[in-house]
Order: sequence, then C-alpha cells, then structure tokens
Amino acid sequence: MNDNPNALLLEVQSLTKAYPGVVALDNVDLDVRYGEVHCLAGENGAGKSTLIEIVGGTIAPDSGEIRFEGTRVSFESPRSAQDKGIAVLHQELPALPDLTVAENIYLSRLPRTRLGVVDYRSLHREADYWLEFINSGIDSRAVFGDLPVAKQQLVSIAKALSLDAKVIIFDEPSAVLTLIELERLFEIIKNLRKDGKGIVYISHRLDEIFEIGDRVTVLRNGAVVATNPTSDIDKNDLIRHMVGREVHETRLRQRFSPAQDGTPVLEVKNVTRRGVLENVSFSVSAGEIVGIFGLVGAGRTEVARAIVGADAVDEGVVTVAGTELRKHNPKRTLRYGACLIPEDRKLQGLLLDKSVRENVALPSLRDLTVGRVLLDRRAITVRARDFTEKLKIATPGIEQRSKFLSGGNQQKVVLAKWLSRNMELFIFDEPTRGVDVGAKEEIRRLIVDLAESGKAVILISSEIPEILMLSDRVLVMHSGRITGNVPVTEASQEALLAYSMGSN
Amino acid sequence: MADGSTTGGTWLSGAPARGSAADLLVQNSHYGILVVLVTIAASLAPGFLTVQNFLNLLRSFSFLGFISVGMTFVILCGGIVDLSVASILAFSGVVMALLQHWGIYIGFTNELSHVYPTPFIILTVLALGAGIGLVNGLIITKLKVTGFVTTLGMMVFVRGLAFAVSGGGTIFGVDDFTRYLGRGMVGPIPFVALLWIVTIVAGSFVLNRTPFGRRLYATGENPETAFLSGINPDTYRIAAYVISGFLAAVAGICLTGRLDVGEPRVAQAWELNAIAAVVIGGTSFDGGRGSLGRTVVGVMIIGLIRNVLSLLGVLPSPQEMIMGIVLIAAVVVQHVISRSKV
Repeated sequence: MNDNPNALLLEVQSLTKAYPGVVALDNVDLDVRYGEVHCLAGENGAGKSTLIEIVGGTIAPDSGEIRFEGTRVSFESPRSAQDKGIAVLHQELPALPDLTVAENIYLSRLPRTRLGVVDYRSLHREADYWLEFINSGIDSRAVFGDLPVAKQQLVSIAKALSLDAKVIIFDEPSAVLTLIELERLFEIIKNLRKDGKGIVYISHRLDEIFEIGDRVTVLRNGAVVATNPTSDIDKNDLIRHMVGREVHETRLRQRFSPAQDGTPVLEVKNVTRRGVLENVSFSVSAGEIVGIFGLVGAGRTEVARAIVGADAVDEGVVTVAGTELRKHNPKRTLRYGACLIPEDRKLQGLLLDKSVRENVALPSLRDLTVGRVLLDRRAITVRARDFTEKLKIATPGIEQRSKFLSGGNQQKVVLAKWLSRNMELFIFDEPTRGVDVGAKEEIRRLIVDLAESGKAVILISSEIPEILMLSDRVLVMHSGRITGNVPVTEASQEALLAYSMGSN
Repeated sequence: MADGSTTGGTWLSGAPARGSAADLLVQNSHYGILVVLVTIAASLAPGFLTVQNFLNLLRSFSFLGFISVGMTFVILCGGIVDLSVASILAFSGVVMALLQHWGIYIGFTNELSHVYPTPFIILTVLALGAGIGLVNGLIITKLKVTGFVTTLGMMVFVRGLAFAVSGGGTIFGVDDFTRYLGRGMVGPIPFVALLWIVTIVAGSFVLNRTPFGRRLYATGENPETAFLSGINPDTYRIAAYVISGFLAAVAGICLTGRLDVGEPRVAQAWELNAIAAVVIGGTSFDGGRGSLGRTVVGVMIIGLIRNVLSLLGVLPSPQEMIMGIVLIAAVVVQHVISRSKV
C-alpha cells in the first residue's frame, strides 16, 4: 500500500477505441488513486462500458496506455487483468448457480489435497475468511443460485478480494439492489476505500454519486468532459456536463394542434407488469408524435411490447382505436391498426434469409391472396416494388435476401412491412439506431410524414436531440414508471435527463 | 421435383441473388450424390435404367417418403423433429387391419367385417394420426416441453399402443381396396407412388403458394419476427405436427395394404431414416430454410444407397453401418463447405 494520498493506483492515458462508423472512446484519460471511489457518469453510449471493458481486459484499445501502480500494462484477457489486480463486477454476474458460494469464489483454483481431490476444508476456511472480511453474513456452503441478487454481488466482492484485487470496478450495482441492500454495499465500499483499494463506480443515479464518490468523471460521446471532486460540483453541473452544449438541429415538425373532439387513437391505462412496468398511463392522438425517452432498462421497450400485446401484463387496459384490448397478441392488435417496429431489426424485424419481397409481404399475406388461399404473386411483387422505390431502398432488386442489405436499408424494409398496410398507430423503437446519417434523415422525415397524414406515432429513442426534433410531447420513463410528461415546447435536454434519472 | 433450387427454396425467396461457386456447391451437392448413385447402380445392374425399375423404386421410396414429407414440415417450422412418426405409422396400420376385422369380436371369426366400411375406417385412422400429431403439438406449445422429448415419449407410447391393440400379434388379411392402396397400379405407375407424388406437389403448393406456408417458413426462421408480424407461432407449430401425424397415418394405411397384414413391428427406426432424408436433402435444422423438393432428393438418395448396396450383394447389417457413415458424411460435407465459404 502507498501512504501518499495522491499516489496513482491506476492510470489510463489517451485511450482510443473506434468501431466502424463510431468512435467509442476518444483520447480518454482517467486515474484512480489509492483509497478513492471514482465515479463514472454519462448517458447511454457515452463510452463508460467500453472504458471498463478495456480496463478489465475484455477488449483491446486501438491506442493509448494503461499504467498500474506506475508500470505500463496491457491485458490480453480478463484473466490477465484479474491477475494484475483489477476486478470488474458486472451487472450480470457470471457464475455457476448450482455450485456453492465457496466453489464459485475459488472455481479456477480450488485447493487440493495430496490425493488430488478438492480440499473442501481449506476451501471453506478460505472462503469464509473473505466473506467475513466484508461482513457479508453468507455461509460459504450455501448454493450460489439460492442467494438473493444482493448477496450474490457480495460474493463477487469477496471473490475480487480473494484475488487480491486492488482496483474494483462496479458496473451499475444499484440497478438490481433495494435501498437497504445498497446501504450495505456502500458500507462495504467505504471499508474497501479505507483499506486503500481503488474503486470505480458507475451509476445512472446521481444521488449515489454524491453519496459515495470522491471524484466523478463525466463521459460524453466517448470523450472525457470533466473530472471533478464531488465536493466541488452539484447535480446540475453534472447534468450539464452529461448533456453538453445544446445541439442545434432544426425541428422537422410543424407544431401539432390536437383535434378538439377526437378520441385518442391509443389509450394506455394503469398498465402494470410486475417488476417491469408500474402503473403506466398515457394516450396518443391522431396526427401526434409522442416521444418516449429513458435510460436503458427504464421500461420503454416494455411499454411498446405491452401495447401490441407481445408481452402479457398483470394489470391495465390498452385501448386502440376505441377497442379495449385485454390479453391480446400482436396478431389481434394488428387488426385494430397498431404495429411495433422493433428495436432489433435483425432479430425481431426481419427474416434475414428471405427476400425483400417476402419480408415486405409478411404482415399482409392475407390481403395479398386470390380467394384467401392462393397468394397473389403479382400483387406482392407490385407492392414490394412500390415500397422499394417509395422508401428508396438500395437493393439490387426485390429478390435480394435482406441479410445482404445495409443497416439503413434493412430498417427501411421493416418500415415497408407496416407502411404498406393501413395502420393507425406506429410505434417506433429506436428507429435510427445503427443507421447511417442519410438514412437517418429519411427515416425521420418519414415519421413526420406519417403524423402529418393523420397517423398516431410513438417514438422511442435514446437520443434526446431526435426526440426533441420530432415529438410533440415527451414522456420520460424511469424504473418502469412515467416520471415526466411534457410538451416539447417545455422540454429541454437537461429536464429530460433529470426526469430519466428519477430526480425532478 | 416441385422445386428445390435455392436455400429458401421458393419463388417468394426468389433466385439466389448472390451465388458464389461454393454456395452453389453446397446447395446442390445432393444432386451430385444422386447422379453418382444412379451411375453406379446402372453400371452394376443392366436393368436399372429401365422405366419399370424406376417405377418399382418409386414405390419402395413412397412409404418412407410420406413421413419424410411430414418431417420436412416439422423441421421447416423450427420444431426440431417428430420422432413419433414411425410409431404412428405402425399404429395406423394395426388399427386399419383391426377395424377391418371388427367382425372377430361380434361373431365373424374368419371373414372380413363389413360392419364398418373401409372408407370410414380410413378416415378414422387418418383422424387418429392427425390427432396424435395434435397432442404432440399441444404439449410442445402449451406445456412448453421440447419437441424432442415430447415426440420421444409419444414414439414409445404409440408403439406400445400398437402392440396393445393388436395383442402383440400380426393381424392377417385386409380387403381388396386396402391392398390396392399398397399394391395397385394406375396404368404402369404404382398407386402409392402416385399418391406420394400428389402429396409432394400439394405440400409444395401449400408451402410456397399459400399464406399458411409462408407463415410456417417465417415461424421456423424467426418466431419473434413472425410473432411481431401478426403470426401466432404456436398455430403453425401445432399444424406442422398434425400434418406429420396425418402423413404417418397415410403411410401406415398404404403399408398395411402392401404387406396385407396389420403388424405392430413395422417401420422400426424409420423416423431416423426420415430425419436423415431431410438432412441429406439439405433442409436446415434451424428451421425456415429448405424445401420439400430437397427432401424428395434425400429420400431417393437413401433409397438408392440401399438399392445399390443390395445390387453389390452387401448384407443388411453392413448396409446399416454404411448408411450411418453416409449420413454423417453428408452433414460434415455441408458443414465444411458452408464454413469455408465465409
């Protein structure tokens, strides 16, 4: 251990990592001192995960260096990072649920007797030592999978300590913990700090950062915006850092004025799915674009799936075009004119091995028949050609298998599936994610056109500028609840982000 | 056959827009095997390339052919496999013969009964086959038991049932109509072969030209996409098992006619031959990729290998060994070629 309070345990210097089309990390510097809790904050996609994956040895950086206790290191695998003394505690803990706690802690290095079999007595003695060290109250003989999530997390901390980790990285530990469990965790973290460990703590909850953190580094678009002692800044500063300067993108949308008498196309009332959605209520009118913003895991996609009936809900009613739907499925919802353009076009939107033509026709096969039985080949061809042209889908022809198209064009094929049917409500879940700039623009234009032709639209997006550019009204979600419902005229990046973190 | 040119295997999937040489090789390797087999057979047996021999072979393919068609529906739909088909086949044959001898129980001991006319018997047996398939489908979709385990259980159960209803013995003699189904000729063509061809054509039509067929493909390739596109995957999975059970019953009826007995021991391990036929044809186990045309080629390859081995004078047990090697080789070759083309 080092007595100098400012000595650096871990130093990251000008780390850069680029993926095709996106720079995930851009010249990032970060340092962690002995006996410090260093928090990382930033929006989805700001680069936090990439950073810890590099530090944890999961992925290799393009350039830049990592220094550990003053010497330069490079990791080929998580194992080599672990051997040096860096432990990453992921949200999803990789573990073998059927083995005991002790076996999980010492899995790759079980002590053996002279006969070569596992020496359970010393195994449990060692494991119990570390479990007690953090006051976990866990019996090393317990079966790992039987423990509640909070205790499983403590086991991973014990494991990290048993590996003699000096830097322990917590990746959003609070996401799965109750308040009391979180307090216990904080106590343990404070003790670790006292022992001179370096802690990196990632969280979406700003309150936590101020409670536990000594310093906080904010990332935005892969770059470090600022590193400050938590005592020097407040929440508003932090949010401002995360959002950055106002992006000046012009609104694509004329102001929407709701029809006075019109009943809404969609009404969601008290929809609850235990542990996922809580009492969600809102409505969408014809010609209106309602944006839904929230951080990952806030329940946005789940709301969309509940509306079309892809997931069953415990309580609540969805009313589409005046018809109350309960225990519905997408097939039924479709008949009333509501569709979901899902988040993952490859896994949920397309049949990758089938042609553009077949994909476009898929939801409307019944309408494209002669006498309801025989498929009308010509009608299908005409429709597929029409929409390939209308949406400017770049493909050698409608017979091209959709897996050979680019991301943007694949997304357009998914759109064509629904635009070619007469729908009343379109739910777009991240319609422009992973799509090149040109196609992005076209897809946004298309969404606006839909609303202007009188369709109701829900737009789920992680990009605040996109939400502000397109929506008439913005719903913000946090932990399965709607925490904000504001007209776009009153919405700002700061306000939306504040709502999405559960603070008002 | 009806189709079978591309991986998608359908007019809706269209022409293989990107066909590298390796792609073509993978997609058409089964045709190559077929040509090789025919050449070997023709050089070994001078009579091989006659129309008559071809028609006879076609008949011998048909019984396995029916259940292979059903198996194709199940595999295309992503249902993995239907292991119960051979048992359903045997059970159907036994019930077919048994119902014709109903008279045994009401006083006619040595004659066929006319209490229950043959067409009704056939309908009953077909309904039983489809019904067993329905039970398979319901257990798999509603109780969420895997298809492999469900149909494995059903395979054992139905085979046991066949033995139980026949009292373990063979039921001798069926009526002329039933015999015609198995042995009759329409001009020069065996009736059962004709029926098989009609089944293939009808099956291909359903798979390629109807919404039902395209939804079945969609369910097999990606149930989530299908579901969000307004398709209930369960409906199509159940339907695939019903079709499979139904066609197994068809095969059972015809085989009883051919053998002139109701016999619970027939078609042992045929479910594996049917799976082999589908796999050798190149229909993907992942679901959604393949076609009936491919299966027909697979059935022919399996039938021809046996035929060639018999012509060579190879005894039945080494024949089994060779069949096993061929099956593994077919899968390995497809796997290796498809991996090397990246």
